[in-house]
Amino acid sequence: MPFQWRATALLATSLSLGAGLAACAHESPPEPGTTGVDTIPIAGPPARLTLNRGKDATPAFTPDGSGIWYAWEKLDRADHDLCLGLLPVGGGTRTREVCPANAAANPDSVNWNTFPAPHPDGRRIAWQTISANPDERADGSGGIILSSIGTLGDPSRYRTLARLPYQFAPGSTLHYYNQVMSLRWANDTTLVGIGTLVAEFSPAFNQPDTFYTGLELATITITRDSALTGFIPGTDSASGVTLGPAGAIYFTKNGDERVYRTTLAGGIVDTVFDFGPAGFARDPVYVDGAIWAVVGGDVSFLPYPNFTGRLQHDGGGELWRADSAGLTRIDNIYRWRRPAVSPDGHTLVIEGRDQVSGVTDLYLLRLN
Amino acid sequence: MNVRRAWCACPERSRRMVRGAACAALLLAAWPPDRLTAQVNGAITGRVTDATTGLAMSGALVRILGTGQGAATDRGGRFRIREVRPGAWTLVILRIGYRQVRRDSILVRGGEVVHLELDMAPVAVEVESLVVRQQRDPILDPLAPAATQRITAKDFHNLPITTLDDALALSGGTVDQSVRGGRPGEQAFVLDGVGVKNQLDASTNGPGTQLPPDMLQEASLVSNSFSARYGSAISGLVNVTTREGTEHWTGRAVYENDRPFPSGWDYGLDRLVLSTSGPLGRGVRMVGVFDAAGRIDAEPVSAPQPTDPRDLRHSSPLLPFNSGETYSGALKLGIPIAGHDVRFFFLRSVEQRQLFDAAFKYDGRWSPARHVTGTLITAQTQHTFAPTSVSPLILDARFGWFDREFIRGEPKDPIDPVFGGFTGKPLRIVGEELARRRDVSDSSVVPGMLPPDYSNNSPYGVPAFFLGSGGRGEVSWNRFREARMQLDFTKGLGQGADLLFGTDLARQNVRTYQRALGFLPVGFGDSVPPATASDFSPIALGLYAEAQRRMGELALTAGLRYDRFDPGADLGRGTRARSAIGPRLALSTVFNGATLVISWGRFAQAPDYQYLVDAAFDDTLRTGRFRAGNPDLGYETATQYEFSLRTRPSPVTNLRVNVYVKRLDGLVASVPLGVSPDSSVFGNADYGSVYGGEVLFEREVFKGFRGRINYTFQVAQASASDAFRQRVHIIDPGTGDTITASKDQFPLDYDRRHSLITVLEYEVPEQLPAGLRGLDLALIGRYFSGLPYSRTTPTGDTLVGPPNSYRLPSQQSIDLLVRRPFALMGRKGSIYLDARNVLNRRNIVSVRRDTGSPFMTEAGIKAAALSAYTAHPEAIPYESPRYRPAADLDQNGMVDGYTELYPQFLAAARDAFQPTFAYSAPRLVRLGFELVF
Repeated sequence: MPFQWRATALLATSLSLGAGLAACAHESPPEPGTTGVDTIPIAGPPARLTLNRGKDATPAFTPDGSGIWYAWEKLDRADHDLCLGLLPVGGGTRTREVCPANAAANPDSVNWNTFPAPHPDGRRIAWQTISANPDERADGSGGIILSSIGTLGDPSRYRTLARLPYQFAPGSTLHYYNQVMSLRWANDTTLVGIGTLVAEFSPAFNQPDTFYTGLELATITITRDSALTGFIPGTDSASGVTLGPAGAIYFTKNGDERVYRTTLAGGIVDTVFDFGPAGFARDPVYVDGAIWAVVGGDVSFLPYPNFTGRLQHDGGGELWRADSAGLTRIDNIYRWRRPAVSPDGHTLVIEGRDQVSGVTDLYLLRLN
Repeated sequence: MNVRRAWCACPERSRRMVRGAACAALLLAAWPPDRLTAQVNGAITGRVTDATTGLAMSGALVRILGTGQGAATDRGGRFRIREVRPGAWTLVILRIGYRQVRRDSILVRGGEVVHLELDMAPVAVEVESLVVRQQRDPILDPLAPAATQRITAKDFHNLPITTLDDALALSGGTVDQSVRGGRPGEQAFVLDGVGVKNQLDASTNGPGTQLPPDMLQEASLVSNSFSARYGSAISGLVNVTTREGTEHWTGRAVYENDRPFPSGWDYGLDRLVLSTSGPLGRGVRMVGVFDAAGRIDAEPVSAPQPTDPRDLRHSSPLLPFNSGETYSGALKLGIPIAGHDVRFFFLRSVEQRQLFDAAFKYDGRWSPARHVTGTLITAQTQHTFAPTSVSPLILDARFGWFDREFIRGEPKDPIDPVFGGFTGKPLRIVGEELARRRDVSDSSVVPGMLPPDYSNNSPYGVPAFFLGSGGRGEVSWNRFREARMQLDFTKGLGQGADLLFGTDLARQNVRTYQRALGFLPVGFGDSVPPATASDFSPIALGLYAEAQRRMGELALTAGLRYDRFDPGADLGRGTRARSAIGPRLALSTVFNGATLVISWGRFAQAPDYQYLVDAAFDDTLRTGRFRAGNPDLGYETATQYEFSLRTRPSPVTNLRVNVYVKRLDGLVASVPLGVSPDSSVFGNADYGSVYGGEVLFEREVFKGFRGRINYTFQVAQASASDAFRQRVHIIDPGTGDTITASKDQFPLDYDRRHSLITVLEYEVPEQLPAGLRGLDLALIGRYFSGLPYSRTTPTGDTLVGPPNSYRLPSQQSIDLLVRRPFALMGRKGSIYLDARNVLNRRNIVSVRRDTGSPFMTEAGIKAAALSAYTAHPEAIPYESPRYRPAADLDQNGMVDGYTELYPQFLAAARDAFQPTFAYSAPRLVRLGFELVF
């Protein structure tokens, strides 16, 4: 706020000339003030970060650990679009908001910005944008977007790394992805995510529902002028992915209780942990030699009419921890999904769905 | 019954009317006319006699130094030099056997005649040659039929006025930019004899150039029977004469600001003026002026400050995000070439403004902005054929180049003034590259445009009324260029006789682009009109002849003007050229110390070219989003009858009374073709009438005191007041048939019935104490009766009574200028205090149509708040930027429910519906420092 300069009396005009030219501050027009808050009204173990009555999901820490990017449901729009937001890591007011660029052109269809993946350099961010514009594809369309953090408000400067849906291996139905979810930067140039099939089915005696079933781990490698899509061999039916030390990539599979390990190049795949009777494991996170994962809960892996094979339907599960000492259930009050760990390994942020209200919010857990 | 329309409907009568005027002009041309002056230039007349015998001297050669102009005396010793530019001239009279007579500082003013009585002494006789100068009284001169109201450079210095518009607003019959009730833009602008008009959109966006006032010699407004030399106007002529370069270097520096004043008076004003004039050698003289002004709040209002402390204007009267800056530079060179004095004039002005938009009050980043540049280059010279003859033929050749570019839309980058209102960098608009390419093929979202969303930054938090995240999606760009050539001939037909004739030819180019709701693809939801663009090159031609004859105390002036414009084939829809004939006639006489003038004239102007092409906009006041252009639009015309009386009640006072009737016809209007408002088309459909009277009383400078009182009464009516508003038609919703309205006329928007302007100047005499001695005081008092407006029902969909049948309250203001000259280290200068609206009167300039007051009713505000709450009852969680802790009454981390949300919606509604622009400017004070060198 520029300081206010005042002369206490009318000076001689000659003085005003000099004073006027010397002092750069005029009466300043009013400016909007800061309206945010910096405390969490409701705190507890785990601490609730968001109170939005819509969906708050797909969190990811910034590389410096100071903030959390996530997707939040914009309830003041009739179609409840999902926007990206940046929260202070300790909770508080969103400092950035990035809503779907073409949402105004599709006011009666779903437009989502989800799965933010802040680049390790701290200056860029990738995410997935999806539009269910009825004039376009029935199963949605969108892309994987890369933008400089500084120009996030200018869609004309976005770089589309891949358009969705895409099929990078012609003739193969396996490599046809409607979406690429749970994006992570495996290194400075490669994004890893879950190539996902999106389908709508009507399970017996239930309303139609949308199924997001992982097909495999997909990769997007960027160069100066292009982006190459690919996949990691041996990761069929991947349902979750996280990055470990020394280039390790941990992942889970649909209808499977185990956590696997591979590398960006694929090839050797070994089993790291097995949650066994606790249930299907997904959304793993590597933290200091341990794996935290969502296990069991509202998850099914069943065949559906007119579809070859089985589909996983995931409504969230319990939060478990596995290490060399064994398995530990952390919490089962909420239905958890998609945890993300802070760069220092001390904090976990995770989606938690209230089993009564069905509202999904973000929660923060201090790990030690 | 509209008389004017009845006349138009009778072609035979029209033909006879024109034919009669043409015959009158020919007849007058055949008669030996006496004297005549056009309104840009003046004339010098006189009589030369022998100092010893008193006999008239024929064959004396009278010349104006430095111009090549001159004339020889006739057998009666009389001479006349016509078409003399305003300024101070040196006259030399030569005759073999007589001493040369040389006289300096003969002051000539536009439209006036200086008369000289000269005695020449024989060389052999020791008698001094004498000159008796006599300024022909412009008040009583029957040969000056025009109603001219003049502002001089001295007035600019002495009065509390800053711009040319300020000066012209002191003239009787003007209301803002309207002259005698017409619409804005109906007047022509003539600069040093060169016509300059923004023919593209003068009615909605002004002239497009800003002439620095320091460049002015004088300016005048001619509101009635202006000479046939001038076209492209139906409601007046603004005539500006610029300064000439001086023989010795002079200069002036002025700095004005308001920052030493308390916060209520400080609007962040800075203005710097630098001007200089002098010789460059080899006979070249120059005048250069640079004028830069910036203000943080470029359009201050005196709206009441809100009581809610959260409102941005609660603690500061400044409108946020309303800054503006203007730069204008002008250079005039007088260069002697081959015995002729050729004058070159260059003007470049830039205006850029952020425009306050209440919806973006808390997100000014997205407020619209405007950038206008204007460039004017003129060259002119004069040649006198046979200057030693009694009646030489004078040719004024003038060339002009005018280039104006306008763009309005969202600023690409936040506007961030670095000093006062000055940003120091050009304003860029989102989509301007698209606009300059006039690319209408791309129907997608304009790159860089974001849709607006409800603001996160309003102090109320709730999603209502205030917008952010994106702008309104408008890009409006146009460019108008014109190359003009004018040839004006003046021929004396015998001693004291004149005939004017000439032509002007203009080649123009118009380029436009408009895109509305650019954050959406064209055609989306049936509500986004296609982008419109045009590129065409009209040609305009004017021919005229005018003559004046005096018979004793009776003077008759007659002129005929032919105008033609062709929009060009580029419009591609079979356009045709169209033409108009404008006869003008004035009869004037003097008796009993008063001059009577009866005048009649028919004037025509080409329509604003913006109406020839399609328009895309998003303005519900214009009832639609698309308007089809009409390339076949014809001339807008006016026929004016006037009776004028001028007299001098005493030697130092004068009184002028003008009574007039003006018939307007063919004004451009929006004519609906179907039920959809977007199906309207522009047409020459409006007509109207204006009648009124003006009384001007002036006391000239006498014992340091000067005063002028100007009273105007007028009634201005028409069938519609704005080309973009649809005419009052009824469209049958079942059949789609258009039911034409009755031929009623309604008050025009500028139908101000009474206006009273008082100008007083006083120079404190030297006898008074030192503290007061030398002070110059000037005061301008104004009283204006209210302008008309229309009332509607509370729902806003039905007019209450006829259009414009209600009146705003009257307006009053007092402006004051106090100047104290000083001498500093041998330099002269002054300090001055310029205060506008000294009493800080809160004048109401508009009201809501549904309430008749600036304010919405309390019930209306509550209804709007409830409606907004009903639309968005969503809870606001603490992590949202819209969360306001004070609104979270139960401290549960959510602003939710009616109890917590509705008060926020209500406060937002009170803020949003403030009548910001319903009030005129508040008290504006500036402190100035002037140094002359």
